[in-house]
Amino acid sequence: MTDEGVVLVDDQELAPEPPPKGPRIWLRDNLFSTPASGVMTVISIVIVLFAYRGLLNFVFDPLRRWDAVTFNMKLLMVQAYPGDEMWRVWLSVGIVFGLLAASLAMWRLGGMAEPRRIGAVLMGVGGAVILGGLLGPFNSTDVVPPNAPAWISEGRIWWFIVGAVLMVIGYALRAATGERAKESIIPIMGLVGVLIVLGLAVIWVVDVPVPAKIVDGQAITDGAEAAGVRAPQVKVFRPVAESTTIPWTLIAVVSVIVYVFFRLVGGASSAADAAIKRTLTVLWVLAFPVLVLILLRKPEWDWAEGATVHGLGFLVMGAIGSLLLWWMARPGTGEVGRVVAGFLLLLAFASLFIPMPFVWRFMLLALALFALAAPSFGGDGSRGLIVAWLITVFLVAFFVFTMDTDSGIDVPGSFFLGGLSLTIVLAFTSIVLSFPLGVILALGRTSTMPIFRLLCTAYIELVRGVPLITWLLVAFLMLPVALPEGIEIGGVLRAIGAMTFFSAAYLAENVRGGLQSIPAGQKEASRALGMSTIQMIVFITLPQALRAVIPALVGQVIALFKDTSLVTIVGLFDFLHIARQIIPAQSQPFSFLGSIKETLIFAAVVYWLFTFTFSRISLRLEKRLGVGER
Amino acid sequence: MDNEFSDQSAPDTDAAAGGQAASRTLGDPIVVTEDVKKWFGDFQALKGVTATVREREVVVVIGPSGSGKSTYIRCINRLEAHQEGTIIVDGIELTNDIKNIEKIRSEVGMVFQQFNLFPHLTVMDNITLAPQWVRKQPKDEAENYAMELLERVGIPEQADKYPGQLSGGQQQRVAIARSLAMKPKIMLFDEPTSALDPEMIKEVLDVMKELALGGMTMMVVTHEMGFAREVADRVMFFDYGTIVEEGTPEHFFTNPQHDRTKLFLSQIL
Amino acid sequence: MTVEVRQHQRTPLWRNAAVLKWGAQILVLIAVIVVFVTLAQTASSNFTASNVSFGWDWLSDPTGVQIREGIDTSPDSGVRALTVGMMNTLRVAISGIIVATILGTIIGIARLSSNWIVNRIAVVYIETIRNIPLLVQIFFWSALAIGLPELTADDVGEYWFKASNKGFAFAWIFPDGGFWPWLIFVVVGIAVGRWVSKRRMRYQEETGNPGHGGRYAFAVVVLFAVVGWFAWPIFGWLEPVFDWVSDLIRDLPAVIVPIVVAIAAIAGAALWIRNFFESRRTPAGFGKMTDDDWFRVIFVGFSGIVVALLAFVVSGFEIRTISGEQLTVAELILDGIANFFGWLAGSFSTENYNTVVEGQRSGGPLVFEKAAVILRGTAEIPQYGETGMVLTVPFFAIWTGVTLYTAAFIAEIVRGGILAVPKGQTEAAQAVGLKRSQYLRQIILPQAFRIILPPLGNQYLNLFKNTSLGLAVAYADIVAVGTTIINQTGQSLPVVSVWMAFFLTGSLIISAIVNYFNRRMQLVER
Ligand SMILES: Nc1ncnc2c1ncn2[C@@H]1O[C@H](COP(=O)(O)OP(=O)(O)OP(=O)(O)O)[C@@H](O)[C@H]1O
Ligand SMILES: [Mg+2]
Repeated sequence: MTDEGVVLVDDQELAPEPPPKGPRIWLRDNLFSTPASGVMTVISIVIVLFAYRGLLNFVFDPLRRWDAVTFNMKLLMVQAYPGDEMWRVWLSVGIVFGLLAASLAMWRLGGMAEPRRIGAVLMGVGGAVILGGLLGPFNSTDVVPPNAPAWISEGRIWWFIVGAVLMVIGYALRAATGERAKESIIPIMGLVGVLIVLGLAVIWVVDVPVPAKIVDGQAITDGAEAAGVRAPQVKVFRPVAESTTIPWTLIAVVSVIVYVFFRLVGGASSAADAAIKRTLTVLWVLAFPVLVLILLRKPEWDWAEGATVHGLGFLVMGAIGSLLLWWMARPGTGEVGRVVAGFLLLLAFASLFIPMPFVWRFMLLALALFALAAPSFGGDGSRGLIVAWLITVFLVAFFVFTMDTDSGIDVPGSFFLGGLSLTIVLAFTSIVLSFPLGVILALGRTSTMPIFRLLCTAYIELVRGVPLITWLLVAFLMLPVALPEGIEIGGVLRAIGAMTFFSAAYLAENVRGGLQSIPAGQKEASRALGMSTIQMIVFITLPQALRAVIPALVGQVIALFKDTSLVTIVGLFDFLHIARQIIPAQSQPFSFLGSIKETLIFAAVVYWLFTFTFSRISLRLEKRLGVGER
Repeated sequence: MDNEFSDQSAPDTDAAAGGQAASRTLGDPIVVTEDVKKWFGDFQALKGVTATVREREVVVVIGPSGSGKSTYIRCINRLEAHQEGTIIVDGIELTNDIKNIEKIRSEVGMVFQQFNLFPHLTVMDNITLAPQWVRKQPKDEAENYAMELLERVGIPEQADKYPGQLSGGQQQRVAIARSLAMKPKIMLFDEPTSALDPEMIKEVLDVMKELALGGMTMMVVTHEMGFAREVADRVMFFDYGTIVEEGTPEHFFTNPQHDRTKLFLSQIL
Repeated sequence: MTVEVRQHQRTPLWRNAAVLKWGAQILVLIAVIVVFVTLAQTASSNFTASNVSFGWDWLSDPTGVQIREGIDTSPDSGVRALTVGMMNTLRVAISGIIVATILGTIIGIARLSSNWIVNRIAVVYIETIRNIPLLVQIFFWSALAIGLPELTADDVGEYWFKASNKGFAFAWIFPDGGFWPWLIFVVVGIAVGRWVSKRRMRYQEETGNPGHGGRYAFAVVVLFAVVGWFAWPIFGWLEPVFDWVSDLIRDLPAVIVPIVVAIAAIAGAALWIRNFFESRRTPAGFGKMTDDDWFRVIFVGFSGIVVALLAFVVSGFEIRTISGEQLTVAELILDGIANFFGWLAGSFSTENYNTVVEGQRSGGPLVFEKAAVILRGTAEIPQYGETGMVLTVPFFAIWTGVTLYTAAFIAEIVRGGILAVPKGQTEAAQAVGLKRSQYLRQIILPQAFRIILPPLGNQYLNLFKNTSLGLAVAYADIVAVGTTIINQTGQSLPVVSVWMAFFLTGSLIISAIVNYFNRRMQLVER
């Protein structure tokens, strides 16, 4: 299912360059250069017109149940998240947007755009809208719903007006910038600002369709009220609920303020900049687990257990580990340390077969890894190493404790999130988890040790040779029986596991490409300087390899995001599942039976927005890092 | 160094050079190789190489392409593992013992034909990386010493640039500084000037000469005969995986014994 | 000169690089094996507890599985059901690969067109399709087809093309009784045509007169096809030949199967090892073997022996057949090969001539049929008839989904490949006066093909694996059928291993084909 990320190498747009030569010449060069080209143009125009009209007909057909989407928006986003806890969701979204704004400001990821291209786009859109007006009307098949805003039920005049306005703005933009229109002078972030304002205006002003039942000439739109009412169902147009508009407005305002603030603060001194960037990076890393595990889950901590099992575990392991690491990093210890580390690794492995709290196993494994790394990374004082160890142990203890705790958010079903939020959690977690696994597999496959190579190659080829859906089915049908008694893994975790193992194999192949592109001289030089294998990998080969394959990695991320939709087949309530199964089967309080095309199209648009944005960001990143150049 | 070979007719420089070499008193043997053999698959690259290098000695290795020069000096810091014979460096025998391998690698510096700088690190980081993590030096100490070294090789102003922004000669000087930062006892050079434009060769050779004057033990694979004549205490001639002939530069360039050597010198001079 | 060595004691084991290297590897190997064994043991003990034991009897047990489409809609056994699923998967995969390649190439070229509007259409297609999950698209096509009008009693009749919420039906050409003999004619015709075309080409080079190689070749192929259309029964003598081979194989003792496999495995390993030693031999005797070399030799030798032993062990397993017999695997394999030859014999039988054999339509090599809507059963439900090509809604959804999706990726690959051909080639072609279509076909595409082929192979693999999404729209592919069997019998492990074997084999075959062409391309280059 995963498509080897085919990455677009941007072609300086083969697009038109109208005015300088005049529209006639442009037409001749780009549409009617040869008779054959002319014929193709005519055929294409006919196809485009039919497709456009078909699309408009589909969208504006009054039989379309777009109210199935608008009415169920919350269901699509967070499934049954309780209403009075919704502030947790909004806060999470706000935090993410705030971080995004700050990062955009600090890393200056904006860039500039050409007014000429923007003008052309605006004029093009305007033209399309006018054309739409000409192709209408689209509501001939059904009675006009009551309450419909004028611009749908009545005149096509609005189409012409909107189109004309857009064209005028576009033309004005080009005229106003004049000669400089060809340069990139308009900040893209400014455009984003305009879009934000437009978006806010839309949710405050424009009415959306919602289902209603008419009783005594009164339209009941509230689901709870309508539940028992026996009355014909109609579609009415209402403004977006305040519970949605107000949070979005707040988030937008805060984001803009944050952006401006960091824009002003940033650039003052490079030391301060570096500090802010470092802080932001740490916040990004922490944000996801904190939001998902703590804020959205509202864990009901059992402090007594926390203190006895997890707190004690932290203290004991922290103390033992610190002592051990201190001893291991001493220059005098030498190879005995390595033997001890190997022994620890065996112990961690054996702990899988000895009953003990899960957190202990984790910590043992972490300690073994730290011990293996100690000779390579412990300095004289090895203070850094011990601090890193303590932080790791704390995080492990804390998160295992949190995961172990029941969620205070009570929803039907086994997982507290659903819809788009579940999709995002699935995608993000699998990517993050599959990354280290993929790197290890890639290192194994390129290693000089034949058995490692054999094992890793077998894993990678076996996993890649079989479709993801089979692995999901294995995780859902077979895993439960293969696990020792007492260990149960919920559906979401199983899906994450399957996708992690699957995506790791693909990631490994990408990373391997990067590793193999590194000249042998790099390894020889690091060997000649006396570096150990671990040091060589961490300082020399991996950084270069990863940098070389960033485009492929982003492609992989996009593919995995799309692949999360497969969990609907095994019955998880992800975004697609709600869109194609839950909503089209709703009959109470309002019936949306059979409204599957509408919800699918909405789902498609949302997925598209995510992946398209992602691929564009990756293009920019690629250029910024100058990956192609080296 | 455009007219190195005419140096022959300039007795003053020759004398000075000879004086340089003579002024170094050679110490104990530091690299001892005995009957070293090495195969690549079915191809035998070293067919029993026996030689000794003493402290503060400068040995130049020459020979036709494919004769095993690189293989030989790469065996000395075990970038290649030899299969028969013994190699003893600074009193430690090179075996499968990882402790010895690590120790020797950090005591033997190596400079490559293709520089092999780390392109993703600045010049400063290139130099300080190994001292920090292999020698466990504190960061500022490593940086101070790196600055000192950069001054010695004449490019202190380039510390914050990336290797890709430097000229070939500058890169090779950074590579030398990077090796020196580990405070090695022996330096190995594998054709350090072969990938350089003629005008850059001199700047690298000058650095190497200075190093030799400072008493560093050096093994240099090179085709720069001027350098050999001026700086070397001894020249080894390799062919088909063995040392065909060795001796002082004077002996070597004026009075070679073997036909192979004569032929090679006649082609190269 | 001697020098004293300060550290010349024996290297302790934990400092010996070779020991560490192999020790670590062997430990990890043991760890992996332990994990697998433990998982297997827990699984088997869990199963014993729940009274299910894995086995292969379900393959031959009668199933209640009903399959909506395929070569057999109510299969009598598990193996039959899985076969139907495999055929359905292959149907989508093969036709999808062909169409996606053609469509993708066209769109990829359109993406580079200098015609602005054509270019933009290609961009919109690619950017839309690529960025939407395939599963969403499959559901969408399914919803679209289900939304079509129903068949009514008024629709009864014959059609060239008919669309309804039961799927699509259209006229189509099918192979018929004389197809295989006729195919021999066509294949021979193609071979002769190539030879003729080469002759004409040489003639053109020698004399300078136009050789019309292509036209001659085409004429030859048509000639053979037309002659074969009437003359195919002359291959009737192949029937007894194949029958004889079939009987011969059926009479062989079953031990022959493991013996052949074992000999092949051991001989292969021995040959490899001999060549390897050969490559390490120098005029002066053996070169030094590194530890990696030894590992390889041991590994290959070990694998050869393991395969040979496994052949004997596995071929002794007994499996119950549909008729209730217990047959060993070896006997089953022999039986299968014999049946294959029996089928070949049937395909060449002249009895097919002008007699309607059951399951076949008439006597000729090919037959053309229109689609039909008929009333079926006592309830007189309007349905598509047996004739013509009928695409059910699930088939349409999965096929359209994977084909359009893969075509978008292929388009990008084609575009990339064409852009990678040096500009100088285009300029040179234009300079000698070739037209755009000419130089695209004769200069650019052949060169681009080399760059395109490896990623194209990846896309084929993806398409093949993506057919498994048919499960989501209830298309009866191998995964869907397997899931049904698991639900009925609980035999998850065996079914999953069949899936894996199927997909891995399919992937291997596709890779092998792509690699074959790749190598040929590389040869042409030199
Ligand atoms: N990794 C290797 N695998 C196989 N053969 C090798 C390998 N490295 C070197 N050789 C072979 O060993 C022989 C000696 O190589 P070496 O690099 O030591 O020659 P050299 O004297 O340094 O030549 P040059 O002057 O061209 O650098 C060559 O014939 C070479 O082909
Ligand atoms: Mg060399």
